[in-house]
Amino acid sequence: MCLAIPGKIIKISDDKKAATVDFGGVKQEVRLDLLYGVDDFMIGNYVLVHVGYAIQLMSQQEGKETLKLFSEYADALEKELQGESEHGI
Amino acid sequence: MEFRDKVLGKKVVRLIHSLMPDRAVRIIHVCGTHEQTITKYGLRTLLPKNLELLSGPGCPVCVTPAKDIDEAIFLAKNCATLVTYGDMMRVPGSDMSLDEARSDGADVKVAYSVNDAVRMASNTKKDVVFFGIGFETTAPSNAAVLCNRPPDNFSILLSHKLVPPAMEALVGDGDVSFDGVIAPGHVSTIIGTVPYESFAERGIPVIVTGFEPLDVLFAVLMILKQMKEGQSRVENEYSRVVFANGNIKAQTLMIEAFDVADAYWRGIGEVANSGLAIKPMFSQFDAREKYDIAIGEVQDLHPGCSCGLVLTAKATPEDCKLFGKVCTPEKPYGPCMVSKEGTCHNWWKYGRYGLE
Repeated sequence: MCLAIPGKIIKISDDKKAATVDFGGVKQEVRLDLLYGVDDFMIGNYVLVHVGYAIQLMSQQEGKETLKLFSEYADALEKELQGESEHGI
Repeated sequence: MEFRDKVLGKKVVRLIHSLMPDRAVRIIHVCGTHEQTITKYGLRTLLPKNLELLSGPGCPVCVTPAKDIDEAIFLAKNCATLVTYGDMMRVPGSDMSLDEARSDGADVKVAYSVNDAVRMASNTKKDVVFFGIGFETTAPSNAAVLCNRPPDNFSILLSHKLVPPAMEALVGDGDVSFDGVIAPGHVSTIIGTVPYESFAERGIPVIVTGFEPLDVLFAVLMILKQMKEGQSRVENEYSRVVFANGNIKAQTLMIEAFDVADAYWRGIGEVANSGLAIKPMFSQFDAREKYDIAIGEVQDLHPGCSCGLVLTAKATPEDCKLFGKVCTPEKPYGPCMVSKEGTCHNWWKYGRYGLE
């Protein structure tokens, strides 16, 4: 029910209340009522869409950043645990 | 690298096993989509035997009370075109589901969005009622519709539920205890991470979590790490769409359109301040104000159904005598078997430990 899917904004309506969003080739109209400061600069950005409403503006940068952080977190933890076992903790 | 990266996934699983204490650890999530990720990808098979991943009341379709379904059926039979999300169609009310009511002649239509229902109302003279169910993720769309002034022949039968008060009820329940909470990602996109601070202050680590298998594994790892360090904090693993303050515009619209109210959760009971009601200034769009709804005696759960125990993590679907026998997705007896997000539905479809 709380499923939400990312899609790419390809067009914004003149009244700034709706956008045409591309979900991997399928284009649908999405309401923008839940976003502040809607303007044409958002075209090309990804939005997270739930029941026909964009609930958050996303950036691909953040997705990549998360994966980098995941990787660093795991590496750091692995080193920490190795250190502990070497010191007999 | 991507969110299903096998090398990173294996590393995280290794780390989970390294950090696991000797005692049993109980982690609960409160989101049907998390249960789907966990069962579909068989994540429980990857975890230590003494680590339990429990499922809470995270399926809005499952916790929508039979009374509200009965009201929707009354409206569809007597007053208006009742528009609902597809998930709701087969959920049993006291006597029948909306699907059965439609076969019986009731005017029920399925839509993907409340916006489709508003469009329907604009194109007809007949009254249209939208069955507004769901958590904080879904409620803002209905608030936006009310604030945009819908057509006069449109109204909403509101049945929204709020997640943090339900978590509060679970944590406050003496029967169960949890070492950590996996908080729902898309609810948190709206409400942010701040509402979970009170749980962390009481010693329970809370990780706001996304829906890829790697997200859920990372959340488990982060909880174990906090436990090892003797800490309990709110951490945001899903920072790609969740910000500390959430979506302020959505919250503002909800405050404009709704009052917080006590709400009844199917199989669980009344939970204080866990629901929403349409504000009096929008009463002309409130189906409960607009129509004289008359329903018979309400039967919340049919005899023998364990949904209430499953929703509060006191039992697993396998503990229920009806599971997979009398109650299957083809012929659901209880609400947790109907929705794709219901714990019983997922365990039937994928098995407790996922497909072998």
